[in-house]
Amino acid sequence: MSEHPTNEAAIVAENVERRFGNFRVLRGLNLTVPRSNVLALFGPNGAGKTTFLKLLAGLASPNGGSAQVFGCALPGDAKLRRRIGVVAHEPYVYADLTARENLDYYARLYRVTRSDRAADLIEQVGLSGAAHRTVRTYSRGMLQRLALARALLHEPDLLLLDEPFTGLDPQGAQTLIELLSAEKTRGTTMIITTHDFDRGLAVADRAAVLAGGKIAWESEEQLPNADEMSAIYTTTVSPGAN
Amino acid sequence: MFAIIWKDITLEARSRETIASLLVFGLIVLVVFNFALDVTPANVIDLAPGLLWVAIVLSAVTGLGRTFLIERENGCMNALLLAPIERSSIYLAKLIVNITLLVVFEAGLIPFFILIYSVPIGGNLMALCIVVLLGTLGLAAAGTLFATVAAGTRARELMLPLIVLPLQIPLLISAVQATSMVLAGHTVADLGDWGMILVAFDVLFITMGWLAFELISVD
Amino acid sequence: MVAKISQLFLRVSPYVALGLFPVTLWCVFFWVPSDAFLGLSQRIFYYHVPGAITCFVGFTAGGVASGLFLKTGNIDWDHAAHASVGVGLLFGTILLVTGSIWARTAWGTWWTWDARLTTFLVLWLIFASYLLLRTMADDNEMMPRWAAVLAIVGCVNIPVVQFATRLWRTIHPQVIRNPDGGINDPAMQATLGLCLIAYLVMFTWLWALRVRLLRMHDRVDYLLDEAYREGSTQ
Repeated sequence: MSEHPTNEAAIVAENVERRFGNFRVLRGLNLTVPRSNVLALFGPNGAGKTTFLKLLAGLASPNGGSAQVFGCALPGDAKLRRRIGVVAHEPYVYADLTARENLDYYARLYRVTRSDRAADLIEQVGLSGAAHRTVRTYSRGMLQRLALARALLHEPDLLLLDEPFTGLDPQGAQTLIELLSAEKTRGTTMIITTHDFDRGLAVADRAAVLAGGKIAWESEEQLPNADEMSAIYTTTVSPGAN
Repeated sequence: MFAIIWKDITLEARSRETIASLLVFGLIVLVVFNFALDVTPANVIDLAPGLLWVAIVLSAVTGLGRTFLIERENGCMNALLLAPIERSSIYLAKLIVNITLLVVFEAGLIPFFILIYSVPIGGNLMALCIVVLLGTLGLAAAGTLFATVAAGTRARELMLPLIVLPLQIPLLISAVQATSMVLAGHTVADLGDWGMILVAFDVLFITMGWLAFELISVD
Repeated sequence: MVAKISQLFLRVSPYVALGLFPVTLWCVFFWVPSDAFLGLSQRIFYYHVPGAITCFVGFTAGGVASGLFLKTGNIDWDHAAHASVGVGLLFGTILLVTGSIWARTAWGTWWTWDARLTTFLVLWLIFASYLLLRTMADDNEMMPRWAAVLAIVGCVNIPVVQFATRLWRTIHPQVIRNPDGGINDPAMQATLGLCLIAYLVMFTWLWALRVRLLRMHDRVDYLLDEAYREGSTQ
């Protein structure tokens, strides 16, 4: 892991705007996420959560405002991308390669030098038994775990997860929470977007709601529990609230 | 970059889908044109270069989209864009993979072509290979660049030929002329202007692809 | 800036064009002397050549506007490029069709593969594929960038195509010589110039109309999206 001064925030977004054609998806988004914090981000579909994560990952540039990840202005360059890992809707793995081959490939792509890193991770995510089979045979839960292994391969400082609990059975979700908690103790900054209040809050240090292209609500000192969060969410995203 | 190349070639070696469809399509084109153009021993020398290039070009534009289709399957294109590599390296890697695929394809097609049309090749096989390679470079350069674009539209398989073929016409003209000169016994040094256009075209398109790929993949 | 220019054109161009065209008609049919060799049918060139030039202007302007779009990210430039190529292609199509009809009556054949026609046809195909690409957009947000790259690649290709086709044509015997000779007579030059101006003004008018249409299209999409968002709670 890196030794950076801990007072430098991981993410600073000021008035970030992002447009599709003439339509503004993100309109004046303000958010600060300190290092080693885990943020649970809630919000309606289409509010811009995925777009915001894309921006942070360097896949798109802000059309207005400014955003910085680890002090580097977005969209950032290859060096910044090296510090970020992404788990998205799609697993980003090749169906006709085995888990081991997929990870070896990504290890090369990210220039991971430790030769046993891939094997370590496969064991950590519990895929040792299936590592020699091609990914095409995997279940949704297994794919998610492999995607997480892929994202953690290069020991990122920032982990972005877009609705990681979707489609997972309770056991799969539990495994994921355990893995994320382990990552948290290592000090990785994380942003998790989800609709699942229970699971999102289980790992989080802070929570926020993205609605109408802005951060409509942010948690203070104390994290609400799942029911409180649900109530806050409903009030925040009802029409006329923004 | 080499990681990408290795990965694509491994995938292809495993499934052999692309090569197989390229080859079969190329052979079909050659055979169909034999009937369509009523190729006889009298006119074969005139028609042969054109026939070869029609087969190559048509097969290539239908097959070139595949290297990007692999990426789209599980969203891997995004993963490539997330990786800490220059986007233009992705282009070069894909370009090399495409060129390799096409070269393997042509290695199978050309002997077939020479055989069924009884093309008098003389000692000029080397020169023919050089000409074909030059033409392939330009074709692959444009195809690799626009494959991402075509894959993002409704008309997928149809879109790539629509975009790439008109752009390739100067290449096609030069390649056919050069091929016909080579078959008539000239050496590569004699190709003069046509060779120059081929090389210039290749350089132009590879450069444009290298520069434009980032623009095409990220907003 | 694009918006201001197009509004200016919308206000001025119709009148200038409508004023100029009758003048050109008079010049072409009554004022200018006949060509020594071709007689009456040669007069078509006063409309044909400016049409070709305007078409080229449309394509290159499209390329330039595309470049500006890629540099600034301002969607107005994309509209400008789209409109420019579209109107250019329209002029090009009219040119090809009328040229073909004229060729049939003058030379007895609908088409010849001489250098100029071939180059033009290839360029027409390239930019036709540009328009096709745009219609297949499918709401894809990358489309303006892709189209812009295609436009620039197309424009860069123009000299290459010209060189290659000219070289190609010097190898094969010319079937019919393109009777374009030298235009020396000042009256002819003046008429040609006048027609060119008339065509360019026409171009700007159509271009401005198209830009306005594209902007309105965008605005409607925007309003629909807004309405959808306000209306949905989840």
